[in-house]
Amino acid sequence: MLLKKVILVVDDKAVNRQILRRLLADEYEIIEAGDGEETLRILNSRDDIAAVLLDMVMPVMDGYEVLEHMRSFSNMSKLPVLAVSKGDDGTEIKALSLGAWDYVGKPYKPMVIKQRLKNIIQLHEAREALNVVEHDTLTGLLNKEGFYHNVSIIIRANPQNAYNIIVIDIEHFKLVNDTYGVAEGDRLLKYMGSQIKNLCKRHNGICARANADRFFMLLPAEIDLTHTLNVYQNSLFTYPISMKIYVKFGIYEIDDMSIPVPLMCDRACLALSSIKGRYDRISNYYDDILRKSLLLEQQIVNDMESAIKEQQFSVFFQPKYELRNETIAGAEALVRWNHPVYGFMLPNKFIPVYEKNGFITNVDTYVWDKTCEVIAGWKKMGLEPVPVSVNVSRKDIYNADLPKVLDKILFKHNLTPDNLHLEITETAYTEDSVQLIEGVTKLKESGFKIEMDDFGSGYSSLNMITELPIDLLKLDMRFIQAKKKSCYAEDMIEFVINLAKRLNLEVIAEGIETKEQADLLRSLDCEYAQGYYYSKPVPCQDVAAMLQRG
Amino acid sequence: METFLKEIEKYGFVKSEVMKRFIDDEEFYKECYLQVLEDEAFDELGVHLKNGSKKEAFDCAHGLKGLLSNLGLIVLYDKTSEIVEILRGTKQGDENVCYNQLISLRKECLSLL
Repeated sequence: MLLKKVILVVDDKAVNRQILRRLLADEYEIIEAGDGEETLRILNSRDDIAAVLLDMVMPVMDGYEVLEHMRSFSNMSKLPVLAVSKGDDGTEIKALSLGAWDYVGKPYKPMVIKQRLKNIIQLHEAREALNVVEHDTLTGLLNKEGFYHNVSIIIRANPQNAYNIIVIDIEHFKLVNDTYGVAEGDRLLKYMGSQIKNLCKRHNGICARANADRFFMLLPAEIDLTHTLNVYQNSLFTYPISMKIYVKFGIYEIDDMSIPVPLMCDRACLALSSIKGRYDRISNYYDDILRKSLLLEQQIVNDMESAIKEQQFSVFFQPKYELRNETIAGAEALVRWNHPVYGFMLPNKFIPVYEKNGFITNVDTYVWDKTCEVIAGWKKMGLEPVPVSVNVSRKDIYNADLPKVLDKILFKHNLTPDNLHLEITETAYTEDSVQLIEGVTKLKESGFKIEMDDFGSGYSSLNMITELPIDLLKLDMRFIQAKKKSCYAEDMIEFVINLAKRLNLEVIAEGIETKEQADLLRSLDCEYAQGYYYSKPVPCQDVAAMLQRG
Repeated sequence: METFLKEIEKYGFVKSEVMKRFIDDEEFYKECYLQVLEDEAFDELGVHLKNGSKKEAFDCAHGLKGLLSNLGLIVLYDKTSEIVEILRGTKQGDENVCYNQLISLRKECLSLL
């Protein structure tokens, strides 16, 4: 059964209250107050009152004073009031001007009272519903739809003014929920909301909670955003929680008012998403460069399936040389993309995208298969095959079936694990060292040689080279090129080579561009080298010719 | 009861109009009738008029007007209205005379119960 709506009947004459109670009791739950003061006490203590039937002439505190008080308190100001008056001395006008929604006269006309009461309750409920539709219940701010609606009105009404849309997002918000509980997370969101509201109030802007931990603001463009946003970020550091709260801002400068507001917000979100997780950036603007790069990224994703199907990826080999006698000791397989629209594309354009969306596994498998096909071809030509290193991405290593996948490819081409060397990057170690060690150990047990790629380019850890069962360190070319800048770099190279030897690891230096570099590395007892000084990456068939030449 | 409602017709009561307000419950009407006629505002009005407290007298008379209009006792209501108008200064007359007439009407009505 539905609960009856509660009506507060206010009249100093008990008999009038009794009459109204009898008239309305079938449809409503009636509570009564005998004067203005009692009325305000009840309104302060209850939040379930649907409407007030208020007599205007009362001792102690009359109906007009009650209306004035109600107007000044936010919890009462929106409550519908049906004023009851004799209607003979301008009381209706006075009551309506003080905020009464409607009025009825005396003597009571039952049908009129019921209908007018019903009208104001329905109107109130419709307004509340609209309020809920446009507002976020947790923070009380506008919600996404409310924001779109209000921004649209503001910018249309002020075409001469320039505005920015700013989207705010908390870094690792889920961690707050996970560590301190959802209630604490909600408290933080409320705090964020109140801070954002204050900021907008100061600068004549509006704000909204779009979803989860994401907030929107519309601010006039003349505001010094860098300063304002920094102040806002700093204000969050004082939030009482033993975890620093960092936020990111994505900014879209409204340069075309004809663009739909949701699209403007999307652009601000895109600017934000491109700096998520980056410690060196707090805010980012949406601009044409970002737009183009995002479009390219999307195109790369769109075209990935067809690229494999239509064999648009091609495998190049860059030979590796033994420094001692400068003969080919192996090669590294490198992928290129002959894109039907963008042309020849280097891997740094598309590999990071595929590492993000997981498609890298398909690309790697494709390269492994093509590489094995080439090595098998060398065998058929009667050449002594050199091992070829292929990249194994982080995502591949986390696949427990990886040794089986590789075995299957080797079997298909009648090859053995010594024909392929597997290159892993040191950054994988920083993400999940335990899983990486497990995965690499399995590969090692399957008979593959493991090479640590890009050593020295990132977070090089001594733990890593002792814990991982690797066979060879690949010294990053930037490490070598630093040699040009200081003697200290030469010492570092020597140190790493000596360290590798102590650990029984071979060393290959990649990115060798000059004879001096090659000579230096040879003098430091580095075994192998790879780089443009010896050979750039070449089509696979060219390597066959090199092998034939010996 | 029917006799009672018939009897008060001489005070302006019109059953078809008034009883809707009392959900056609004649017993309830009678309860309210007694309550209104015994309202202390009648006596207070007399005191304020005697003391010359026009504002207070006006408030009392105004309150009684509302009560009597709800009961549909139009003759008493009109008398109260006269007092209100005299006190407001929009009508000439003697408010004390009117009050005495009102009290006597009230007495008559009470005697019907």
